Amino acid sequence: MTADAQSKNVTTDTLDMRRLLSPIGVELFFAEHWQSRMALLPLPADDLAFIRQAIGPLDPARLAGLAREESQAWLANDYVEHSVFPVNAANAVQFHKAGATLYFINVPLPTLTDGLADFLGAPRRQVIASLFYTPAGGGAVPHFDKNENFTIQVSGAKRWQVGQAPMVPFTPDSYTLGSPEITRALAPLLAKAQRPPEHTVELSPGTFFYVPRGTVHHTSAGEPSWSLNLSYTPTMWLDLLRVGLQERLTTSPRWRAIVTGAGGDPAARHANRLPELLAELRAMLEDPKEAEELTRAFFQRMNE
Amino acid sequence: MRLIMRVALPAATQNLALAAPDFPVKWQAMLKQIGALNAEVREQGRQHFVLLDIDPVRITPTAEAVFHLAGVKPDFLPEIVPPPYYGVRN
Repeated sequence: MTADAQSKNVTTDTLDMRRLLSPIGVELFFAEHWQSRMALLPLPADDLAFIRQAIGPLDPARLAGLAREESQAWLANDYVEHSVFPVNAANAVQFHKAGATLYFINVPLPTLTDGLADFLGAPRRQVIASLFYTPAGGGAVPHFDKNENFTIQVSGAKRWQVGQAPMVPFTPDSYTLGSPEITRALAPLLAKAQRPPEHTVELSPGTFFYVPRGTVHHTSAGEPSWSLNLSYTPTMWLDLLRVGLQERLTTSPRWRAIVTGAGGDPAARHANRLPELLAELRAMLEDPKEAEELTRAFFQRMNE
Repeated sequence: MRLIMRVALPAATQNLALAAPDFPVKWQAMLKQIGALNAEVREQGRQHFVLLDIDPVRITPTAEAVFHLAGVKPDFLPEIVPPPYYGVRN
């Protein structure tokens, strides 16, 4: 690493997404890639070094101990259907020797996740870092995620086959192709979906790869591979409105009043306040200050 | 570690190995060979759940034994044991 790069690492304390996306430019990223198609970029050596430093030693037992949500082993081969096992610091290495891909979910790496969340203007808590340790011959079966995924190949190599567009745009849930387990929200969207043609992408250390949610992908590693996944579990606009409005309207006695007069006795219909409440809501949503307040309340709630 | 192996068997008409008269005997022998702690059948014999206590490196060889006998790939589930509930009265 050059002296310049070393000094940059010393002064850098968070992931600089603007710099990472500079080969295509952030404006183009949001205009042409965000939530619609993949983006593949080379990562400057000093940025890869910064990311490796943030992760620390690539030790399965250590990472299994750090993962906040769960550590999993994924096993699929000529004899085993895709199976998922919970693993811990004691047996993670055993599973890897058995040919499983290890998945360490939500490893606390705030220098990376906060940088991405702040760049996206997303609640910090919704962006998590996870690591995949794939053995030679391992990989993932075709599936799509409900998350926006940013992958950084840390070491080794991995081949990805990725849909040219999302199979289910803005999918509410993840799905493994062929699985009978389909959520109620996903079923009608999946029934209408067509699987788009795929690109083949070779990831080598220092590749930065964005895959939009709902995009089918499957992977295979010809050699042991470590990759970092920064994922944004989407908070949808409808979540913002639902949570923000709930917070805001709960303070109003008019909105806390009991639903009455939706039908019923003609006398009870006088107690139906819905028309005036809707007028109040309309006025509120048209006020930019109120919209800003809804967003602020939502972010506060999500980051609690 | 304790695992549940799930084997989904197709109808015997779709898989000649399953139609063989000695298949049940061979199946039982295979369960013994892989060290099954328990085996349960659901959905009129279409779903078999086999409880195992094996090291991770034994998962693929165990599945291979099933594959060679029945021609299907099993999947595995972690055994989930509910916490004891001391308030239960029989």
